[in-house]
Amino acid sequence: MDRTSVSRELARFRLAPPTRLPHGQVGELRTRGLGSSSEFHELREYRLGDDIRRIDWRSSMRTDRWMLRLYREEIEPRLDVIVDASLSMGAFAVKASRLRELVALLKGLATRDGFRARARRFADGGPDDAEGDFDLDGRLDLAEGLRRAPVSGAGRPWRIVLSDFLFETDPRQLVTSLASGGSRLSLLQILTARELRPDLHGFYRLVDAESGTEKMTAIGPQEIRRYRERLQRWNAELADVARAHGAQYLLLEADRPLGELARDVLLPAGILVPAGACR
Amino acid sequence: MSFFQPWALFALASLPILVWIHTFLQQRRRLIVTGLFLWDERRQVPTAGRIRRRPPISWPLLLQLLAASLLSLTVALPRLTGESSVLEWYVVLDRSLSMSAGDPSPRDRAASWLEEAAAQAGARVHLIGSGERPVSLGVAESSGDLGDLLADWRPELLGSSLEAATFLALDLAGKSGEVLVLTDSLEEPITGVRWGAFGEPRDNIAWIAAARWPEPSGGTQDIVRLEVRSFAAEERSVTLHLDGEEPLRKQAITLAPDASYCWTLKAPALIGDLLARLEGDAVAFDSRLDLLSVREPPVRVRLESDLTGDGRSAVERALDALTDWRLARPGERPDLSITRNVVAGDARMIWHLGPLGSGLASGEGKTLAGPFIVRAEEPLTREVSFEGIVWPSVRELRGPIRPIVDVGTRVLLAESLEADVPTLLLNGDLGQSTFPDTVGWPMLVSNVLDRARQERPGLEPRHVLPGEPVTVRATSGSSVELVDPEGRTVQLPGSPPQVLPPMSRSGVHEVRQGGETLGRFAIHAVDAKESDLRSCESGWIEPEASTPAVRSATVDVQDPTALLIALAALAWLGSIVAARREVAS
Repeated sequence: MDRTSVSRELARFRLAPPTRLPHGQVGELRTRGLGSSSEFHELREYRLGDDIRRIDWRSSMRTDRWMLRLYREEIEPRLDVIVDASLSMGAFAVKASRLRELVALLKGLATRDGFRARARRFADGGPDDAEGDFDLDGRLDLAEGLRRAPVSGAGRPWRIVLSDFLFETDPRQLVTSLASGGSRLSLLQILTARELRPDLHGFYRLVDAESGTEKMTAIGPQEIRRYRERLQRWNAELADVARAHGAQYLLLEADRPLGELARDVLLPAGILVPAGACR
Repeated sequence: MSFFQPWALFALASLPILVWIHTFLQQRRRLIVTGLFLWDERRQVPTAGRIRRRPPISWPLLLQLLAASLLSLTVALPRLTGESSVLEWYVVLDRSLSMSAGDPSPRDRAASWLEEAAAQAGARVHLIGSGERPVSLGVAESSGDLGDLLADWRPELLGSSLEAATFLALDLAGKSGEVLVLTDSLEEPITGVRWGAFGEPRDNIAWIAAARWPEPSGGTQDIVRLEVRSFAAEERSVTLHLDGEEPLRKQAITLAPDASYCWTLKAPALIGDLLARLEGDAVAFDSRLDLLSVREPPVRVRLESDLTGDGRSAVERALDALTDWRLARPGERPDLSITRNVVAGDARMIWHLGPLGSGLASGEGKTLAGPFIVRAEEPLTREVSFEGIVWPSVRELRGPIRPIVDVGTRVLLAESLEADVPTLLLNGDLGQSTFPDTVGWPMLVSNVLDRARQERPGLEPRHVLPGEPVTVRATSGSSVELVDPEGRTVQLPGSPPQVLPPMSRSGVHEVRQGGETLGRFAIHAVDAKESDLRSCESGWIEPEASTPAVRSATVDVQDPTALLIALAALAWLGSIVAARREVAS
């Protein structure tokens, strides 16, 4: 992991602020909506359904109407970074490095920008915190990991999922489970150039990184073409499902530097915003 | 296509090894992928247990297999078939005894040369053994064949003629073959013949004659006579030995060049086999002679009870004058039963003496006084004269017979042709005949005893020169085996008695039947000409006329070695290029 790159990108970008208000949240971010923080904003007449605990009795006595004390809401948005820590993510050094850099960047930005951030590594033993150079040694793919330990919807977090999504599963089920209870879902698919555009010729004993399943095969141009078609279809299906769930799907080529990915992919996608932009 | 060294085709076993190596390397060429399902429509089976793998067919593998196959073929020395394209060698092998002198012998050197030369030339080799009657030792298509065939080249003959074999080889070779003669001395060149001599001049002292016979007049000693000669360039000393089970006699002598010495001595008859040997002579093949015991057991005779009167007296008188016989003991199987009319079933031979009964003869008896007709070359009548003899009561013999002595209408002496054992018939009344009073009578009895002796299982003679016949007498029934001096057993074809095929291996041979020894005989490799090694030499006489054009004209066509090597090298290079290309990709 290139920590210098992470530091540089931390200085250049901010995490995009949440666009939908979470319910009953407290935090450092001040939103345009009203909330229950201690900072007084204005009074207005009571409406059916308002919290009677916020009735300003003094004003009500003075105006003879039920007046409600309104406060500027202070929220603490949550970012839940879900990291696919299976062996396939560690199969290629560049892929593992980029994954760790992205996790560090997102966590760093989130912490700095007032998010309650958590990066969880989904591996065989259940989710745990993805800290620093966390291990990528899971034999279970992310779908299986999520089945065993479903994500929590507490706090309606923004979920950013980092994975290669190269495992056989039903994308609808996967996206549905990831979107459950969250306020925003971003699927960041990290693939290397070798995975996107393999350049192989000859006989190989292909070994699946996670399952250990083997396949003896001759690889030539035809096999390469078929592989790329299947990958394209797979990714397109994943993107369609994500779109249907209001989620983002982004493909990150791990071979590109972190800065390029941030500038060319994450920034246009609204995950990051320039550091100088107004809140 | 034929192969001169077909054993090299075992190198083709390298092909599965190559496949295995590629499979092994392929297994090592693992590629971790993150989405195996994208490489195939079907899901793969996890690697539990053994996976049946398809051979990794690739260009490098195919080219390497091709190269290995071509190299194997190259080493196997393939020859294109077809009469016009094969180099044919017709090789005359000298089988004379002198080829075995020394270690290595000229025969060994010649065989080694031939194997190497034939392998290099890739020739098909026709082997012809020398001798008065040349023998084919076979055709070698490969070096392995040649080695096997040459194992049968045993120089054992005395004065083996190369001429007949050489001309036979020339006839067989015609215009397309090459004739070689492998011997131990150079001779006058013969047109079209390549003459190779592998001999070496040597000094030699050799036995050149040997004999052992019983002392006459029934003595208890055997007389042994040996003759030794020097074939050395200078005066040489040698010690003569005669050994039984223990050393018996020895004598040191000094011989001038070409000088001979006769050593005559007596040895106890019962001592058994003797060995005559020369001490101080480096050439072994003519320095040892086996002298077997020559004593035969006496002929067992039984005089049947119906032989009475003057006839019996005549027989007893004649037997008393003879040796080497005895009366058969009770219960003992007689070699000869002498009777009038008894059919003695256990006797090996029966002699009926007249007057014969009606079972053997019929009609009125006639008195014959000659002239008698005697079959020529008949051993039974050897040295027997019938002149002036009167034979009364000669009747007409019954059954199929072989007349031996007759007067035309009546047969006096005959051999029955229908009896199970040899049966002689002496017609007429012996007691009334004048024959027992003549010298011919004991001679006839002696001849009959000899015949009875010959009817016993055994063999003769006991000592022979290479190629001399040996006759085996055996009972019919079980097969007869011959055990040579090296202990190898050969089953003899045909039924006994028989004359053994000519043999030449010196030493003691044994003939067995039913697990019992019928007899033994020794072959003496003694010959002054063969033992004289002073003229042996080595060298080559090339043929005057150029031998067949086949060599120069077809060698390139029939020897694809260079082409195969080139193809193999190309295939191997191709495999390297293909492998690099694959790695680069």
